[in-house]
Amino acid sequence: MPDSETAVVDTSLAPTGEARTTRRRLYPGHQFLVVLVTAVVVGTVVSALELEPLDLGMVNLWMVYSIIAIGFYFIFAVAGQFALSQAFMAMVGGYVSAVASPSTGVPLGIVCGITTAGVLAAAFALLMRRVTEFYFAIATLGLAEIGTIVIRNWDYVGGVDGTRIGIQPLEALGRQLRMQDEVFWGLLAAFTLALLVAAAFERSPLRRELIAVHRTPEVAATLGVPVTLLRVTVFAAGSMLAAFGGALYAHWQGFVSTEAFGLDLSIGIFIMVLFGGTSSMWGAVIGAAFYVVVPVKFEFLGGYLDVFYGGLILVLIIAFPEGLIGIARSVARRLPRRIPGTQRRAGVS
Amino acid sequence: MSTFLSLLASGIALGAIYALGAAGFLVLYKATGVVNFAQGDLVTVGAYLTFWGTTSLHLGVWKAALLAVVLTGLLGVVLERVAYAPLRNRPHLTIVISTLGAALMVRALLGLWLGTSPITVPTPIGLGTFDIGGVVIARQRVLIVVVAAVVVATLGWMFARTQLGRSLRAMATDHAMARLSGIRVRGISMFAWGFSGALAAIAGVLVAPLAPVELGFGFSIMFGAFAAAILGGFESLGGVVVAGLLLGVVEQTFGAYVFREYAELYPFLLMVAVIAVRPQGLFARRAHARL
Repeated sequence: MPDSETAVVDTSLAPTGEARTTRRRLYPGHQFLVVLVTAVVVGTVVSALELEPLDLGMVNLWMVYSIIAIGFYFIFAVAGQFALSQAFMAMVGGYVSAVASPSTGVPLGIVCGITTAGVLAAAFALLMRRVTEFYFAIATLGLAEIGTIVIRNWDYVGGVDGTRIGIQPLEALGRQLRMQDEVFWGLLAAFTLALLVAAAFERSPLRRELIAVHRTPEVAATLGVPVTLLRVTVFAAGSMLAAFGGALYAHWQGFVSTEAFGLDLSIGIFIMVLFGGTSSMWGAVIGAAFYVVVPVKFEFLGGYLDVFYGGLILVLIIAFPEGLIGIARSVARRLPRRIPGTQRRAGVS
Repeated sequence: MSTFLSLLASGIALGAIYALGAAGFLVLYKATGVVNFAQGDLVTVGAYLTFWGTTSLHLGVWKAALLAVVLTGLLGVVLERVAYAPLRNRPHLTIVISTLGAALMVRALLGLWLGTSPITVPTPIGLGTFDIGGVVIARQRVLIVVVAAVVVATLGWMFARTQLGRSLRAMATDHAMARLSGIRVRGISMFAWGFSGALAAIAGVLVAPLAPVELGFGFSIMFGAFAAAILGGFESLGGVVVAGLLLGVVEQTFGAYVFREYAELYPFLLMVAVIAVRPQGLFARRAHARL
């Protein structure tokens, strides 16, 4: 078990026994490669399996949720900000892109959605720069609630009662993506792009500084780390990823409703990151798959789904605060002692 | 003028509810240093249990309300055992998350047990109104203010004058020291969670008869209560009461004249504004109390 102070956070900064004896590269270079290999594998497997449209839809949803969850991973797991606004930011991306697309075209519409969410998130984070933990959580919950009510009442953006229909389909290389398998390739490209951006972030010094800001803000500030700027930046960047995912979802489905991006999804995103693991961006990707599969494969849960999720949060936070990746890593850490001569490998990344 | 006075009266009643809810946050915060995400859902539980007591158990309204308060208090104790006690030494963020998980479970189970369609909660004193010189006030709102005043006064006396109150305050100041001094921290922590749950239930029981109640009922009350708790400085009961009344009156009077279509936004707007502008509370002497 990790020590109590590092329960929900990345442990890569913590001095471990190995760190003193083995030399580790600061920014492992194979992360981009892993992303590309993942994309190729997903593409190959999905086209080889010739999935039914329904199953293909699940794969598509998984990729959209992954994008949103990776944004949340940066906000929550790396920067330690407990934000419950991620689903709302996806909603902003979806609606703004839907409103803008008829005049700008779909790609530029998506950019508009992302930009709006980024500006909104940055302004909010600036306003809340002195606020942490529960206060920040409940403030973001308030923001989401306010934004949802505004969109629902504002017919120009929200359509009738917050349900906007007739959104243009996704476009790629000058053609519209309407069928589930066409959408798949479009979303796979977007998913890969988002993962590449995230991988670049994972290996940048920014990540270290964010962890420092999260753990010991005072020390970080005395070392010249721009605490407020970093907090605002990561919240805006994570929210922009959410907006990207939300915009893709809106154009893929052809309609958006405020219900699809409600508090349920915010908690769902939270479960994705917590379940997959908070110590790597891949945790969010694994967790998103879990979240997509559970309601379909565990149909017997029925109305007990929310009870299951609530219990899952409790079990994870009490017994497995590092999620699946954390479990895999602690297993991997023990292996070399039993098999001498093999090189130690740390988990997925 | 009489319309304004009526609005002012309902503002005071709403403020009393916020103050009660905030007192629930405060008791818990004083004793354990944490804020409970499930507080809003405990408000809902209080309302639903009253409904259950009157319809399924055929109890009188007073008895059903009392039963609801006691049972919600017990639920608070259960939450302490499940969501707080195993995590007491972990970072606060962890505890916040576990209370979120608990809130999700409580709400889902409540929906499974008593259904998701809106319910009507009865009141012991009827839905009539008082007419005082042209100012119309619902009887229920008068009851709210009276009960809230009694509860808050009792609470204030308890904090200041009883051994229990002193133990609570000692635990909040320094948990380890309190324990070394022979305070039974485990029991008092359970008591604080139970008491906080009972306060939430009282708020729920009081406000529920005013409108049909559904599962998200406690949610917006929690925001108002949390705004009151912050604005009051999370320290003194008096501050919290003043802040609660202030917020309630602002919401009711402004809500009737400005942005009427968006009246449902007020608890959230007030809460976000309070956190952004004055996170240390109105009456704090030291800035940045413990954020």
